[in-house]
Amino acid sequence: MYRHWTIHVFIVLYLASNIISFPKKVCKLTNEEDGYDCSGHGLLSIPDDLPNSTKTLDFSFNHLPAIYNTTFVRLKDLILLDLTRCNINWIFENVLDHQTDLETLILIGNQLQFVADYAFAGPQSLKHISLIQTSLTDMKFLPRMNLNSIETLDLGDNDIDSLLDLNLFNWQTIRTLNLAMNSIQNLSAADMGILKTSSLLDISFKGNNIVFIEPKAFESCQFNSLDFSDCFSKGDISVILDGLTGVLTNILSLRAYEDSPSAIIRAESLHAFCNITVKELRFQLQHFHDLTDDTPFECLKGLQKLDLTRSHLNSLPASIAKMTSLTHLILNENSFKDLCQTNAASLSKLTVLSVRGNQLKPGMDFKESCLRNATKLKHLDLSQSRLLTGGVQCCEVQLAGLGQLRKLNISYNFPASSMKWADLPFNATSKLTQLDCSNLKVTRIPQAAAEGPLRNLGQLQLLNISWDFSTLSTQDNLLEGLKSLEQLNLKDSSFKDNVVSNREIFMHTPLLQSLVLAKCSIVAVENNVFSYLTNLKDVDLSGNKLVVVNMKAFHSLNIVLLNFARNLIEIVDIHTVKSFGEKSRIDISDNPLACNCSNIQLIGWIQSNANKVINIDMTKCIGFNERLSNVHLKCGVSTGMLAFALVVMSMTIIAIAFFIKKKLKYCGYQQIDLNVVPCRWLNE
Amino acid sequence: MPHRSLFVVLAILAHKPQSGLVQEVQWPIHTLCNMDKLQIAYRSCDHSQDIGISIDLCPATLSPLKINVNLRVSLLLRQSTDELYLSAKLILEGGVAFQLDEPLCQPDFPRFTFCSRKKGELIVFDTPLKLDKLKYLPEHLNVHTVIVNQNGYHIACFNITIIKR
Repeated sequence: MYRHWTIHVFIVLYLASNIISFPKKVCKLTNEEDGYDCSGHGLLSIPDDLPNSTKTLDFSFNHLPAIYNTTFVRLKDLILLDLTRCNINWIFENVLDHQTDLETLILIGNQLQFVADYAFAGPQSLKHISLIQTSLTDMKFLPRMNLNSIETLDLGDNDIDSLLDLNLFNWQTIRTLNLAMNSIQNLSAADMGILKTSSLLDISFKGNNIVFIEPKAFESCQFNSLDFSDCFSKGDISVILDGLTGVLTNILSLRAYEDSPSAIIRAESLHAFCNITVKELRFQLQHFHDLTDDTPFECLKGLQKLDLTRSHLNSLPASIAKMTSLTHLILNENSFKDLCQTNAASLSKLTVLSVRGNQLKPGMDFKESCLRNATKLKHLDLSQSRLLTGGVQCCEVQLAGLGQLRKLNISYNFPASSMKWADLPFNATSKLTQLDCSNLKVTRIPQAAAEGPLRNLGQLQLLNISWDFSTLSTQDNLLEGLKSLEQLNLKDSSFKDNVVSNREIFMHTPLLQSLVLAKCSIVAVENNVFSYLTNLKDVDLSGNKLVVVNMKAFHSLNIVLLNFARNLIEIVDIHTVKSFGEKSRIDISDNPLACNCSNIQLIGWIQSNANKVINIDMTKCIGFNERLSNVHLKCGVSTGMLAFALVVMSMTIIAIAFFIKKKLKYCGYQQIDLNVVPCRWLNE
Repeated sequence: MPHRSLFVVLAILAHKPQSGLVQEVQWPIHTLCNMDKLQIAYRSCDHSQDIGISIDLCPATLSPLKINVNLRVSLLLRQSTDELYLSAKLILEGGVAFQLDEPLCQPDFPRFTFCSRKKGELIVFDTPLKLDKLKYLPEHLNVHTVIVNQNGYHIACFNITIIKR
């Protein structure tokens, strides 16, 4: 009976333990000093095990319908408190009374019903407050007290329709005001007047349906950035531009989005810029229709950067030269038939030109030197634009005059015919420091193949020629003359017999630090093949078909990052990884690593050198999905096993002896039935 | 009898869930269209939350060449969307037929209004959509879509199944 009770009590206790949850540690340390992440646990209060010394606390996605002055009382050292999506409706008085050091308070996504006037009293210097999607309809709703030090006021995506109460804040300290996606339609001079007391403010009205800005409302206002993107109520940008008369700003954003209506910008609208001082102008996804030589570009003479990404352009007039200060011109994703139609060379101060992702099919002509006069150009991006060289040799003629060019990107161009490289394709741009020719189909004219095509680029530091550029074994001279090269990307290239064996290829690049040979179908890397590369720090051999990790290929293993991920490596010779320097790291994740006794030394090395293994979570055994760092193998006879065997043997002998003794005793009581065979046998 | 009770205890102990093993959440299948000729359903493959997708009109037949519908997607952000990259795989019965990789939000080119939004914001993406050449659809099509942000975090993950009859 007693035994039955014991068992029943045990069952009840067990079931109860599954219903009643005992406190668990739900908060994790973050990378910040004394930082904890308790997000997403549906917590109803601050966990008891959270240290009092916590400085940054992510408490987002929990459940705190009301906050009282006792809620955070213990956490006196808080600097950042993230209460995103905590279903907070009520914030009562003095909830931050003890958090004198608090600087950042995040309340995104809480449907606030009530915030007491003294709610945020306490912190000496509350700098950043985020109230996005908190159902604010009026700035008066915000507590009056202790917002004098605010630098960032984020009121995005609420229902604010009036800016009457902007004067509640201290505009001497505010640096960022986000009013994006509210219900603001009218901006009056009286409302904006207060902004004149601030300087270098970042202010966003993005996504408001602006129908009227009072003339001179922004006169004498000085901003760092001003965002009126997606604010064009009737597709007419002139409402905004006319209203900005007299403003001075470093950046003006007038973007549209793919899921918002764009505006049609007429040439005459640009007259408004005669009364606006702006350094950087963003017109992405807008529609320009009638840009001609008569367009008043002279009104943009102070402009330094102009972004016309996907602005539905097929040409720019030569009169853009009137933008005499322009240094950066971004013309990505437009429809130029010919690079010359950009007229970019007429901009005398141009240093950066980007015509990436040109949309026109079959491509953009790149035959002649239409950038010859852009002598100050330092950065040219013509990637993903289907460059058409029309059978003309590239690129000496096309890049003529660009002697100051430092960065050139002609990657991802897939013309119908391959690009023909002459003897020195980059002869005109010998000061290049970065060259991206990845995903480019190139053929060299036969008579030019004897010497290296890039041999004049002695200052080149970064070269990307990934994707089937050519078979490298037949291009011994490809890297000739690249004596300053530090980073080389040869991803997706091919090697003869899929073996990296020709060390002479790398003879020309003694300063190389980073080498990418990923996805090259490499099956083996021969000894000493990288021996010329004495400065090598980072080698990516991932995604190949390597079976062996060959450390003898490298000059030194002192400080090196080796990536052997996604190969066919089963067993790693421990002597190779043992020679690793303190600062070296290796990635052998996603390989079919054997977790048996033949690999036990590697497993042991990984477990005691976890800091040297990158992606240790993905370094798993083949067959069963266990991390090598968690595997415990027993290989050979250990002392422990010997002791265990002795114990088992001793217990077996004792058991047999006990059995014999008991049997003899039993037979003593059964004398009358000596026919029982065992007893008979025992008595014999 | 005591032995039977002991067996029960051992059986319960054997079934005690091991700590650290989190059961994979399986979100319900939601129906987008349930017409005679066309069925469209989706399921979230995000471990932390479901996703809302809706279209306002389902084509009754597959014969019209084009049909304009309105697509609405609602999603709660668990991380910010300074950068977003979409990867969609079209899967037929034989395997992956087509893969689409598309940048949606880049630091210098935010294409959509949901770019540069913060953790905790609710995104409602409302856009007209043109359904084209429905009759050329395969009988059974799966679309596996993942959207990751600048940290590689899965902002959204869902599978759409299209069945044509």
